[in-house]
Amino acid sequence: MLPEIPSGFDDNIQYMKYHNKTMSNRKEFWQKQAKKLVWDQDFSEVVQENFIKGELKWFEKGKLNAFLNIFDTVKKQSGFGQDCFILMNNNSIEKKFSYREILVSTIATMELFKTKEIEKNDRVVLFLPDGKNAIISLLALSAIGAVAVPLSTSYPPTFLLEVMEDCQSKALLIDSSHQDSQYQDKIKKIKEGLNENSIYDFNSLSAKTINTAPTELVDNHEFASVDALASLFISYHPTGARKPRGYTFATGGFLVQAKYAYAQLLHNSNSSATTQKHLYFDGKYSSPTALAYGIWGCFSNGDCLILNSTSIDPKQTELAKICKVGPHTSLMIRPPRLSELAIKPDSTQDFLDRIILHGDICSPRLVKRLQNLTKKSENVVSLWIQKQSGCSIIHTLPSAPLNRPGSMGVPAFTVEPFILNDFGQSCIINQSGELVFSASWPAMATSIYNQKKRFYELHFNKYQGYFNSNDGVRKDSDGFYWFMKRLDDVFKLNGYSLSTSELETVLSGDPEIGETAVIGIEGTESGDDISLFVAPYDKTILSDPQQVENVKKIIRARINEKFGDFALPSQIQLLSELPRTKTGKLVRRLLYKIAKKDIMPHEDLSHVANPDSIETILNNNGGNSNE
Amino acid sequence: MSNSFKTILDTASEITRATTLISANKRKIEQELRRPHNEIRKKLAEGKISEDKKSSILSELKALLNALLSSPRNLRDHNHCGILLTLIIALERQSSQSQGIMNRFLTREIRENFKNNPPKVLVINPGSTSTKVAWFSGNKKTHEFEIHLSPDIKDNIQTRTDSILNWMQENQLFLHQLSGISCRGGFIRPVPSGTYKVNSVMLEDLKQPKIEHASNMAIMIGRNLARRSDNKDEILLTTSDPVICDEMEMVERITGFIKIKMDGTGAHYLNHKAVHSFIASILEEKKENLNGITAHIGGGSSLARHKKDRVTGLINAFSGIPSANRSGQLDIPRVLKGIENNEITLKELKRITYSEGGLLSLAGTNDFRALSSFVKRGATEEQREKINLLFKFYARQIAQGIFKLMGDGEEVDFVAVTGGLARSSEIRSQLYEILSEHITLVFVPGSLEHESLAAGLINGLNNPGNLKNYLKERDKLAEKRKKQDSLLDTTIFKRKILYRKHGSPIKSLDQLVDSTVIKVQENFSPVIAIIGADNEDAILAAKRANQQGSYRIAKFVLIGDYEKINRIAYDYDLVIDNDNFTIEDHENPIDRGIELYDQGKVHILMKGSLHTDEILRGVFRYLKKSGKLKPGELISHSVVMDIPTRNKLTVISDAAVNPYPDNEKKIKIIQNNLKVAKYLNLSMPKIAILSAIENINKSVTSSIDADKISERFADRKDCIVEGPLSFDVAMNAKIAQEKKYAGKIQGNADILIVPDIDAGNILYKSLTTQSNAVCAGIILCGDIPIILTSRGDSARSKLASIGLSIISYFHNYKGKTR
Repeated sequence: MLPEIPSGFDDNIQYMKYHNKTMSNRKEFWQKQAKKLVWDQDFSEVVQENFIKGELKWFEKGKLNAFLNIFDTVKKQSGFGQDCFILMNNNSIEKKFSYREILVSTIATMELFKTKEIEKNDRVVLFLPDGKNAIISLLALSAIGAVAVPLSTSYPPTFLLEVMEDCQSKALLIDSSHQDSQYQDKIKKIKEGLNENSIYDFNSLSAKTINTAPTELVDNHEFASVDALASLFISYHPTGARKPRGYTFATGGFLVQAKYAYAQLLHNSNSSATTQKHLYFDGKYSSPTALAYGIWGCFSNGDCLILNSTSIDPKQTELAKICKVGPHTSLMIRPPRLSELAIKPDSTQDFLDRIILHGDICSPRLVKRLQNLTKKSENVVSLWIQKQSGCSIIHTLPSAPLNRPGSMGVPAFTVEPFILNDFGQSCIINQSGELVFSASWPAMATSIYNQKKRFYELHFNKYQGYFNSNDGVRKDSDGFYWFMKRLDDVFKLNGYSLSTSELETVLSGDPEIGETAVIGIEGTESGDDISLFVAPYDKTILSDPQQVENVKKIIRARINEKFGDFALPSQIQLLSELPRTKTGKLVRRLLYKIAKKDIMPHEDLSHVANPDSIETILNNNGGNSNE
Repeated sequence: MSNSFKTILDTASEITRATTLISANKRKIEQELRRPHNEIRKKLAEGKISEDKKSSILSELKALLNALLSSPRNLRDHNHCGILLTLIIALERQSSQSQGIMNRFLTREIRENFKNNPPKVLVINPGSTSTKVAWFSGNKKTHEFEIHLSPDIKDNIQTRTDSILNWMQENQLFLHQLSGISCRGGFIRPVPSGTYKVNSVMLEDLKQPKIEHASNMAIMIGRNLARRSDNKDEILLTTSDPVICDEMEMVERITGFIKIKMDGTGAHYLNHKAVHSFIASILEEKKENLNGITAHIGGGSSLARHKKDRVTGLINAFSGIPSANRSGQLDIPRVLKGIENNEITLKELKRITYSEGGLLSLAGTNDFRALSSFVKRGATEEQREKINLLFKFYARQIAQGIFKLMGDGEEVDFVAVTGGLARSSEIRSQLYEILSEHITLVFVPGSLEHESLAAGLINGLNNPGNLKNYLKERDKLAEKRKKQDSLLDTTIFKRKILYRKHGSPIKSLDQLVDSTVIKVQENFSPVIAIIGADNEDAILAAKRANQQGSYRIAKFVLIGDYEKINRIAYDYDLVIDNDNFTIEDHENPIDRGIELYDQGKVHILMKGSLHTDEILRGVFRYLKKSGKLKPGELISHSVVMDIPTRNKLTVISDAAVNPYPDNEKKIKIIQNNLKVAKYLNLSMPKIAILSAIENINKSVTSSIDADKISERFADRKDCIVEGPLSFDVAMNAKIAQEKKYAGKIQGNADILIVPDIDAGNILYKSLTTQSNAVCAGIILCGDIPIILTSRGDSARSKLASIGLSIISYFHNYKGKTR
């Protein structure tokens, strides 16, 4: 039997002890959290998963409606008159919307969508600027049980068209009334490439004005009862591969964890919030993080979301304005946006409630600086979130013993991270390796839309039975995790973003090729460039120039097929094995030097466990292995 | 007096009383045993003991022996055990036709099986000039003979085969009667002991024997004889316990030189094994349970330690103790000296090792009996004395060999001395004197080889499954040895870690690193701050310095950009444990590094990604502000070169920090380098102020400067400073001599002061790039050592640079708080 989550932890050991209990009572823990939502039909099983196959199901057979869950919370807690959403422009409040306004508009929009024959499980792409329309569209789609596919307006129209094709989108939502000229240009191009009937422009849509009270409205309208396993939204990001990749997030699991994670972060507890808080989310509404914390987490706890319609420079003076929006305002931001931040706030009144850092790990120096802007130093917290993780699963918490500047923090309840070296062995304390997980959490992505095999290959294939993160980390003796580096470099090739891991996954899985290392070389005459190092499975071919050429041909053909000719490497070198350190890490820095022909005569190879692997190349490049 | 001390004292008295009692009893046994013992020996020698009598004497002696053996081994009366056992063995061997011995080797069951139709077995045992043969009929040795070839006949397999056939014919023995031929095994390939069926693989291996030896012929002769028989398919051909057996345990294989590994081959296995089995049988013990040492002493001598029926330790017949005509192990340094002085040739060395050493070399004979009889018939006093000395020498060599084999610490049940020399009364009495009180010493003169060979074959006839497969055993052993070799060749230290005496001059960069290790062990691991640690070279150097051998020479604080340092740390497997490696996230690494230094949290600074001059400016500001830079002190750079052609280190300064120093600065540079000389333990450093020439020439400014500078050091007693010197005079003794340079520096300079940065930089880079020189650099900056490493530096060079700065730190450290 799992005891209630303590209201606070005296030290990290106490936290770890409770954390261990949650791991052994994982189902019980999440069942309790799930019970805080309103279900149309109870779920039969909390979780079923098979990480060997890359499969997971949370709250199977459960049915619920995401929109009604927000409605329910507001009704019980804060009341419909409370602020729901504030839109800022150049750091001034442009407009405030109460829950009443948002909920009523949502129902009106839902009805409008219904007239456009948008139904349960239909995919609808949202290409909307941050604002009320984006928010109510998301809520309205969830009320119908349709699947939102929110795309950042910064993405190119070509990508949007690819996404629409990939997810077989029923409709595209745009807003031509938005003044931004770049957005207008994109809309124009999109309209050229699409059937007008599938585009719904908020500028020309006029939802009926409703003056009825929300409670009555809800009683008088029909809302879909959605499977917990059905997608709430699909998240797409450009990857460079020919086929776009949309991560699907299941309605039940995502809502349960978003509500819980938000409450833990902003209200220090899992209990219902008593005081309404404001969350300024610095970024687009369309990312999974924004959806987890900004939209579903925030609204399902009855709090108020602040978005800025223009990109702001988060200088101290600007932040002071944000602080004044509400009495308990927190800022959620990516650390790189804060690098220029001044140190001292103007006055104590401007202190932020929380600063929540996500996306990148913030250096200890910056965290310490930010601590001057919060009421308590421990209120600067870091969340480790990836596109596929949905919610944060490793974090520092707004509690002094669980907050170490610069660290990723401690694992979230029920989550057990592992650190493996490249041989798949567990790393000892403070030894760095790749962060992986042997079990799922409710909010994590369940698949890649229509590409289950790819989901498996990208995330479960590297270490059997583990979900890999591509993040290099270490764990200290107190149980805190520390980020060290991202393991897949993303570089720009002829305008396309391409990650090394994506390319390596495709090539290394091919029995005709072998183990592959992709090295990106920035800033060549024709932009970035890539070099390929390959250790063929069949070593005997290395002595036959004809066979070596054949392998190179196969590699080029595969890259062209899966990505396009923009991703063809400038050089391919075959080796007997790839150079590695004693823990199996690829010595990419050395390969980089080889690719750039920047090898010294006495190149220091003391860190390479198998220097023989590159001896021939070094000799050919004028270097030699010393000692 | 404490109670416990009194208890100890009482116990000690008890032990004394008990020991006295044991001694008294031993004396009593001796008195009682002396008369019958002498009597039996006398009768034995005369052959006057009847079979009946013998059997009753034997049972009495065995009862007596058993009584003595029942006491614990450490309290045993070894002397009388040995006497009794020797007597028993002699009595048993006296039985006609070796039946006593054969019955010990063949079980009762086998003897019963062959009772009605005893198998006929021919034993072939070739020696260097003769062939010993024996004919067995079951457990009886009916014929035995040593066939000498006539000097007129060519000695080969064919002629020896014919000579055996002639002998057989003379004795009415025929090939068709034979059930088997047992051949002494030669230098085939190493195998464990046992009886092997002769096969084609064995014959093939014999074509290329490890050592040319007469025993190699036995199997070929046996095969020739079998072929000539009408029932050749029914003749079993075997060999037992060949000289090339190998059962040595791995630890015994190690020698003091990694390229030479011992193995268990080259001993009289046949006799060693036979004697061990024979004694085990008499003592009614399983041979596996008996630990014995057998010493076969004769023309060649070998000693074997038996444990669990395996010869786990060995002194072989070639490199062990001296024998009749082999020198045994010699003192290698003296041999080398002899070779160097042309007193010994390699050919001679080979001869004395294999055939003309030992007694032949010492006394002019390889026959110990000749020595004994010469003493009796007319040797001079001196000759007699030498002969006595030689007997003593041989006895001691044997005894020392025995004690050496006891070095595994296992208890020994008996030591048996066997072989031809075991008959020598002189050797016996000497050995008796040395060993009999300590161990059960048994004499088994001659050998049991023929009996053992015959018994091995008969055992095989009785149960062919007992015969070992040569190919299988050979390959299994080869594989085992290969694995062992791989372990023994495992590298522990890639380069030599040499023990050095405190204060001795450091002559190479490897020695410098070793000295660093010692300094660190004596003190603590200093903490080095890497200024701008997002630098691969610095990180690699740090990693190396933190994992050198099984200990670390430094800990590191990595100051700079958090994200970049973490990325490098990940790539290079640094363990950021806030002890060995700590990351200090700071936007101004120089200020932070100096701050940590000032707080005593770091001890040495190391250049990372920041520019050297930036670091130097920061450090200089700090030193000035804190008053730690004494007036007149200069910051300078020294590079310590390890040049392969020189047997000591060479310091070059200043090739990096002071571009064009004037004379005053050069004097300060020399003073700084005197510190470096101290770090390298140079008590009287020779400092050469370089110029293009070694004479003063008005047109060469550096020569005039060098002269002026050297004058300033003329009165110094702690160093030799000379200049101007050309590079060749400073570095090459022969050239200094040829140029008739009159100074004290005769091509043996320790420190080279270069005229300017151009000369210095060109000099040290030409040495590193063209002469494979390795360098370590240091910046001397008040008391703060600063390490510089660059991309061009090898891993070894980077490590040495860190080592040099650590030595420098500990030189200044004395008296400071940590």
